[in-house]
Order: sequence, then C-alpha cells, then structure tokens
Amino acid sequence: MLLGKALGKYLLSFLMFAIFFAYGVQTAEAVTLVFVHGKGDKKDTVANVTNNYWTTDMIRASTRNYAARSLVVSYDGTQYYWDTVGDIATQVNNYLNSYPNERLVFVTHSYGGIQMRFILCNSSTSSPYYNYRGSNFARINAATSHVITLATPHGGSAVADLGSTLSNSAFTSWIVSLVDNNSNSSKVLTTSHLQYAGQNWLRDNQRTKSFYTVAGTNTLNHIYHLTDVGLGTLSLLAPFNGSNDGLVDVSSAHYIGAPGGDWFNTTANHDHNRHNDDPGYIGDTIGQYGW
Amino acid sequence: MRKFGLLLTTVILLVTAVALTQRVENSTPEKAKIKSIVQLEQERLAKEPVSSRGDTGRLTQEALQMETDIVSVSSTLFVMEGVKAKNIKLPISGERARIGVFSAEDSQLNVELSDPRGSKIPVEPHSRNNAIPAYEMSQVVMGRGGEGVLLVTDRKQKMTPGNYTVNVVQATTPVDIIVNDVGGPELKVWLTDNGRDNSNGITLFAQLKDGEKSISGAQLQAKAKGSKATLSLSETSDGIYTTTINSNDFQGIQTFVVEAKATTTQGLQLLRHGAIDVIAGKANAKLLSVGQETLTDSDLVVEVNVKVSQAGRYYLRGNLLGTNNEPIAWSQDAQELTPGNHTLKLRFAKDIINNSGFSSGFKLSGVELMNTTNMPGIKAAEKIDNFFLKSSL
Repeated sequence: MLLGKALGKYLLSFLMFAIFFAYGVQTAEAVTLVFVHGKGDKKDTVANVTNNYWTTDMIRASTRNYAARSLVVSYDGTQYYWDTVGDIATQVNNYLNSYPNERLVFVTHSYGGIQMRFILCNSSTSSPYYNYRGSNFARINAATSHVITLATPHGGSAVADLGSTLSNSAFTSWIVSLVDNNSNSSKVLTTSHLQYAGQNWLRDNQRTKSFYTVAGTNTLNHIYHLTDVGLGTLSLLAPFNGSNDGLVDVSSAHYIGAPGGDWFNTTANHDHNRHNDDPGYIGDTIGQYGW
Repeated sequence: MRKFGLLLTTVILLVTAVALTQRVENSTPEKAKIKSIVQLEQERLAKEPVSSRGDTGRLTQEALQMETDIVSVSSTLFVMEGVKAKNIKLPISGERARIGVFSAEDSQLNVELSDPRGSKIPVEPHSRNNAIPAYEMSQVVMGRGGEGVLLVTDRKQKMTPGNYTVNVVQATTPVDIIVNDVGGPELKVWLTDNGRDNSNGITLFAQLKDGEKSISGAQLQAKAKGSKATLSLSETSDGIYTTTINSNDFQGIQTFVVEAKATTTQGLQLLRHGAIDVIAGKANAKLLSVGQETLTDSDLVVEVNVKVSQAGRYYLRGNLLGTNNEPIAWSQDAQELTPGNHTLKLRFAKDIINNSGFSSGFKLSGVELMNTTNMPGIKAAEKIDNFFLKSSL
C-alpha cells in the first residue's frame, strides 16, 4: 500500500514533468532565430558565416542548446543594403516555405541590423519601398516576432566617417579587415547617410515590429586577443562621440526609437559582441532573455 | 525516507539551476538591468496595441523631432595623405589630440614626433600580421614585423596645443597622417535640400566652433570625393560658410569633403576635414497642392495633387499637427503612377486623432513627395508645411 502511494506520487511528478516538458518543447519549436551578419567581404557560404562570423557556440547558446531552430543567412557585405535585402529576403522566404508557421526572431550584428530595418520598414503597401524589386518583405514581417540588433550603427559609424574623409588611404581597411573606405556598404554606414535614411525610408514609424538594441562600451577586452588591438587602436583615431565598441558609438547603436528600444549595454567590443565569449557571453543572454 | 529523497533531489536540481543561471548573471556587468524581451513586448503591447494599418499611426514628439532634425556631421579630424615631405607641421589645438602616421606597405617607416617646445612625443608601432585568418575582424598587432606600420600616440598622452613636427627618419613610401584633434574646435557640416530635385542646387553649410564661439575669417573649400575640382565656401553670416553644389553634376550618392583652415581665438593654427554624403537626382514629379478633405467612418482623408512626368513608384507622406505644432498622427501613401496628374491620399486614423484630445484646428505639415522607383529616393522640389485644414471631428 505504502509502495503503491509512493509510486503514485512519482508517477504524478513524472506526468507533470512530461506535460511541462512537452509544452516547453512545443513552444520552443515554434521559434526560429535568424542570424543576419554584418558588413564583410563578398558573399560567403552559410557554413563559413556560421563557423567564422558567428561561431557555432553563439548559435547554440542563443537557441538555448537548439531548443529553437536557427537559420543563418549570407549576403554580399560590400554592397548597398538596398541591393542585398533581396538576397536575404529570398533566403528567409525559402525557409518559410519549409516552416510556414515559425515565429522569427532576428539576431543581427552591425550592418545586418540595417538590412532588417530596410525590410521591416518597407513591408506595408504604403511604404516607400514596399517589397522592393519583387522581394516579399510583407511575408517576413508577418512571421517576425522581433529583432535584436547587436552593435548596429543605426545612427552611423565614426569609422565609416573617417573612411569617407580619406581619399586614397587604405588606413581603415588595413586596421579592420571588414571596413574599407570605398565600398558601397561603407558609403551608407556614415552618420550623414544613416541619419538621413532614418528620416525617409528607415523611419521608425514605418515598422510595426520591435527592434531591441545592444551596444558595446569597450574596445580592449583582452590584450591577448589579437582582434582587440585593432579595435582599440582604431578607437584612438576615429571621431567617436563617447563610449564605443571600436567601430560603433553607444549612442549610434541605440539611435532608433520605438517600437522596441535600448535592450542593454555590454563591455564586449565589436568583435566579441557577435560571439558567445568573454566578456559579454551575448549568446547566453539572448538564449536566456531574448525570446 | 522516500519523501526526504524526493525533497533532496528537488533541492539539488534547484541549486544546480540557480548556479547555472548565476554564470550568465556574472558574465555581463550590466546584466542586472536586462529585462526579458518577451516581458518587454508584453508591456509594450499592453500600452499600445499594434495597429493593423501600415498607412497611418500616432506621431510622437520623439519621431517628429527625429524627422525634422537637420542632419549634420561634426569633426575634429584632419588628414594628410600621400605626404612625401620629410618635415611635416601639424597644427594641434586639442589637449587630447591623437596622432597617427601610417604606411600600408612600408614596415620600416620611422618618424620622430616633437611638441611645440621640441620635446619628443613617443609613438607606438602597430603592424598587420597576415598569419591571422582573414575572416578575423582585425589582423593588427602591437609592434613591428608585419605588413606596413601605424605609429600612433598613446591614448593617455596629454598634448600642449601648438604646431607639432613629424620628422620622417626613414620611409620608402609616402605617408598618411591621421589626426583626431580631440578637445579642439569642431567643424560642423550640414546641407539643405539634400535628396531633393532642386534646380537651385544643394546648399552646403559649414561652421567652425571653438567652444561656444564661431570662428570667422576661415578659409573653407569642398570637393567631391575622387574629384580634383574644388568649391570655395563664403562666409555668408558670422562664422557660417556656404557654397552651392550643382546637383545636376551627379546622380545618387556622392561624398563631399570639406577642408577648413583657420586661426583660433588663442591664435593657434587650425586644420579640419569633415565629410558629408549628398543625394541628388531627378524626381520626375511635382507636389502641386492640397485637394479635398473628407471624413469617413475611420479616417480624416486629405487628398494631395501631384504631377508625374515619368512612370514609376511615388511615395507621399505627411503629418497631422495641432495648431501649436503638437504631434497627432502621420500618414503615408504610395502608388505606381503613369505620367500625368494624380491624387494621392493621406488617411489619418480618427481613433488616433480622438485619442490625441484635439478635435479641430488641424495643420498638415511635412508633406513631401518622393520618387521611390529606385534607391536612393529623390524628393520633388516642393514641400507643404503649416497648411490649415478645414475639417474638425
């Protein structure tokens, strides 16, 4: 009798656990995290973008050990954002063909956040660039829950400003491989372009989906980490307004308004804030609080 | 006993969960402030449910401010590129100035930097290590030995304003000098009619500010990046310099770099460079007039008449303000139009107007027409502001 009661309790506990677990899995399966990288070189393979740009640990941590699905997109990071959004939209819409009921949470780094602003600001029939060049922005908008932007220069980048001031020097691209002076993407990352765009085709009130912004406040995270040296050196000479992550001012990363708003600041620099490593552990934070 | 075992297991599980959570808590210093986005979204939607409409919405003071702010660029930079001279004067006016001397190819570049009194200022060499994978964000390392060299002053080096000297000890290529003259006067550059189809051209403004004071008598010139032709800026009012860019000369985006040479109020020489992007092109459309107003069950509809000379997509937007410019609502419309006269409609949602507390004395403002067939869009020359509507709710 006593044994029967005890077994009954265990069985009840197991059943409750199974119900909660099943519900949790069902809820998590409805979410896909879409990773949109920042400015870079020409279009790379998804495998390289996953392994080299984001790292698999970032994907794992952000998705809570793959409790959510993930989609990593790739595009030509040297081009104007209006010339690359079609490629991104095609990849996301192809994914939605396979998983039509997924709720999308976009995790974007740097220039990737500008790409998503263009898509979601132009997804209504009355938008200036609705479904630009035949892309289906409207479907992506309908499937989107919200967007997380990691160190996106919403108000422009001081480094792009420095690059645009230089005529011939390879200075910025010599220091930071991903930043060149004369590519189309560099031209549209300046403060003057992005603030103008924010008054026209990237206006906050043209979108209904929230953007939650993350800003980096530090440049030299680790003296032994080679990437940190370049970002720290660049922050000496580029005309930043205040705290920055080596490429983007805090004020620029939080430049956009509602819907959404400032999410948090991290000491991770522009390189670390796309990875799940010290000091930010950004992936863990996204996994725990981001969706 | 079994109950105790069950309780113990639960406690162990809880402690493990808390410990795992704590790892995340410790890893980002400002973690305590982080809120769950799910919670933030719930709070947002509770305050203001998402409208199903994309053509109108509530206009906030913040949004109105952002769209009417003049886009400007401020700079304490100056750059010298391809310098072949062995003795270079740098006019430093900021106490936190940082100086970089750079060659992308010459790893043996060596210079001596002296302050106005002749004292040596140390510069730290950095070079690029190509053994670091190209996909890393940066290949720059401290010290020499790699490709090229950047010699840069220390972040904590305090500068005495005055003329500094770069003495090139060894160089096999011309050098580039980049100075962020932090703490010195700022060059501010801005535009009017940027992105607008205007036969009068685009006016470029510049101002040199030494603290709160504008610097008069400066020499300023601008040139399109990649071009040798320069435009001189004239001092049209106290400390404000202007020139007109002929927007027929280019289409799309063009960077203009402004160079300013001046003397500060303390008698220091000053050099500044600032860059701003100009958008120019043809709108192939005119914004003609405000037409009829109608009240429907859901909207205050304001018709706007336009004339189009080339088929394409055209976008109209405008704001509804109170008599004293209080923000109420925004509206937008976009249509594929053929050449000829057309009417576009701004539909301001009545429920938004009702919630604003205003019922009459409405002003239509910030009405602009843009050709959005291609990026970047070009606005028609005309703009409608402060147009009093007859309608009241």
